Amino acid sequence: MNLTNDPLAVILISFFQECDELIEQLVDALDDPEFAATDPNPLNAAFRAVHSIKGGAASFGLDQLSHFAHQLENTFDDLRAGRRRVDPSLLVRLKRAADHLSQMVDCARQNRPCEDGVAFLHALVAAEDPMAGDWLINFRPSAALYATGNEPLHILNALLELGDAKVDLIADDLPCLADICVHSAYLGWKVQLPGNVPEQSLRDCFDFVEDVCDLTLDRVQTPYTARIAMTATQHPAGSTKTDGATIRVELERVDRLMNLVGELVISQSMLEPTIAPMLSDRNSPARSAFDALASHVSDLQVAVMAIRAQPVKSLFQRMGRILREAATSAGKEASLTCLGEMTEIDRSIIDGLTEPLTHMIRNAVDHGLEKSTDRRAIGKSACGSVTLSAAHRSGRVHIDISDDGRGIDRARVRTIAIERGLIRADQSLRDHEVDELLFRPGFSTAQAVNTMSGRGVGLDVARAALVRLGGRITIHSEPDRGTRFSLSLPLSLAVAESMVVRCGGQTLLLPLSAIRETVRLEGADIRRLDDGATLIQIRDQLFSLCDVSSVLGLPLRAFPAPRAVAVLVADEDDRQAALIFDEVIDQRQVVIKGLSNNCGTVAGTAAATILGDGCVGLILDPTDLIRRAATHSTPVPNLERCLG
Amino acid sequence: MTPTAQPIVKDQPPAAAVELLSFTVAGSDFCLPVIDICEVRSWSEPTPLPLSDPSLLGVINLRGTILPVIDLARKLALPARSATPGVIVVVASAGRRAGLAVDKVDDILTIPTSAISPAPALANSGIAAGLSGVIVVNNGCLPVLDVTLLMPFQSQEQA
Repeated sequence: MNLTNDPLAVILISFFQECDELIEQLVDALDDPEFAATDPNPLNAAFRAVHSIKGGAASFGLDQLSHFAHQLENTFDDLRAGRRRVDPSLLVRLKRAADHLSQMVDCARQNRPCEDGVAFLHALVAAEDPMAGDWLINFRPSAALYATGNEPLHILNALLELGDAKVDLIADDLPCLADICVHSAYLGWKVQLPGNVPEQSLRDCFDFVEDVCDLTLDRVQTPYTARIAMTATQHPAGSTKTDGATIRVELERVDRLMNLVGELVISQSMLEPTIAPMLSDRNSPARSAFDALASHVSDLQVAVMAIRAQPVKSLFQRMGRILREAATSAGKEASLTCLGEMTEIDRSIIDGLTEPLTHMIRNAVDHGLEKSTDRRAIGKSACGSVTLSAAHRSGRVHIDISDDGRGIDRARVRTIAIERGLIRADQSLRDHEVDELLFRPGFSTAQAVNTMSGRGVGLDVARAALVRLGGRITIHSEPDRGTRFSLSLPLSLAVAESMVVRCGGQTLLLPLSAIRETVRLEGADIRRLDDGATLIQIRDQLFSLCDVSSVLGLPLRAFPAPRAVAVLVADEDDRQAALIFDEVIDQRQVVIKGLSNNCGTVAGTAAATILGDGCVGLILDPTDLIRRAATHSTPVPNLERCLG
Repeated sequence: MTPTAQPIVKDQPPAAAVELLSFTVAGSDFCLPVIDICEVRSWSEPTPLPLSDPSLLGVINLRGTILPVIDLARKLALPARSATPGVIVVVASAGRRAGLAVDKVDDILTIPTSAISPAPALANSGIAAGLSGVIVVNNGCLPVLDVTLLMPFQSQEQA
């Protein structure tokens, strides 16, 4: 872990993490249907969240952020005090402001400049404020104000900066020169300011002096004149969090724990054969002790993995933001429904999902959903609906992104695919094969390159990112009913479900997520082309066939090899090839160990694991193997003999 | 060690002496600064890495870390080792670790830094690939190896 020695930087990092959590709470509160209705809790939560961000930002000197949070806090405070009412348009503006706040946090984190959000603030305070009469400020310093070294001129100047101010001196109490006591205060000021200046900005000018002056803030020219007494900023009522207490732990420590558990699993599997005679009797104390150990180790592994797991909620919330942005820029109405937000998945997978999900959400808005007018015309609700759902299923996490839009225009996809030379004009394709074309590199149905999804990258990039995470993606679409992308992901990047194979005298592992099919080589339909390339026919398709031993320079097998198999694997772009292995042994979960730190990049290899006997087993990289196989033009050596 | 106390300055040992581990590779003696050595462990058969440098024997499991093992004889262009090497000397450099396959370790020597001469220019010798200096000892010389030059690959920053 790249730990910096600067203590402030460390605190800053944890501040930003806290901001993420606070923004999550803020968005939660704003999404709560009870927001600012009968239940004060969501509003209080929103207030607390921005209040904490403001406080933290101010102490780190992040003025822009603190200022923005401050203004947002004022708006929430007005709502709490009943000075403003929540209406749908304000709620939309508040959500946008929350999005902007999150962007500002990101900017501050990456130390880059950010729009200061003045437009947002104006939108928040300006329209529809029924009490926006001009401000009338009556300010009368007491002697103590001067005695504490304050200067009314600075305060007045600060007020002048807030807007077009009119300042009148009240000198009624000024005695004649002879009677003036230098320690007394005689002057007062009346200041009139435009009504759109936020109240808090006014109060801020009088920060520090409110208890040493007479001060009234009034609204003029309105039927309802609020007289607001200066009160110290109220601290939010501490309603206790319902979820359990948490601690912040460096990821490195968790990884170390994870490593140790992996070691424990290996030690256990090494111990088993050596004490096998003692275990043979099912009723022996050794057997029951060993069984207990095995079960504890397996529970421990699950428990440690659970530490790294996080609910997908934060990710889904971010997608809500993306959806609103995309809908605004595409001029469409869209709403996001999230299901299964509490589904947990490894932190690093959540991080890796942000980009592909962003892309697919934008895609759903840009290409899936119709314009409101078109939707009404065919009897749909004006607001398009996008649904994100997550669920655990058979040891994997499934995430669906579905929209109720127009569905895939297969005729157009076909036309474009022919234009781009992806298919022949006369090629007949089934519906799902047409849909699959969307994932082909270089395919993009965006007619004009817009700011959102059509950035010259297509769904192929999203798919490649998912495959890197060990995921798979499928697509289902019905005309006028909508499109659904289904993602299937591993629970953790730390373990991989793998096929254990033998090749060139070595035990190797092949990630199961890349395997499409396994075929016995014996009796397979194998053809040789004139240039030496070898193909294998699996049902009605031909795949290039290559021998992993020769691709990776491993010793070639002994002959005959009746157990040799061809494994059909697919890479990130769904290019497929059949790879010959000597034998398939087993299928099991392996703990993934990084290889590159000490060894650099290794041909055809993604990572390593420790096998049951304590030796290192290499985990193959299907993408690299397929690439090497494609450039490896030499024919499969001794194929006939290998077939026995 | 000098008897007088000296302030500890970074990058400079408190006394002008270094501790070196001497060992034998393919019948020749070499040594390495002890400070670069993490541990010495018994031989375990490495898993070969595909299409790797011939001097890289493969990787072993060092308590859960994947450790590359270097055939030091081959790296230094010495005659090929005959039998299975005896031990693996685990070294660290710039946050990376590697194992060096050697026949046997001999001794720990404390040598004044002044006794180490800079490596001579050995144009045609493979040893030069990993040499940082030479110690002249009774009628012979003991080459001092430089761990950074022996690491299996140059990290991205250095490349």
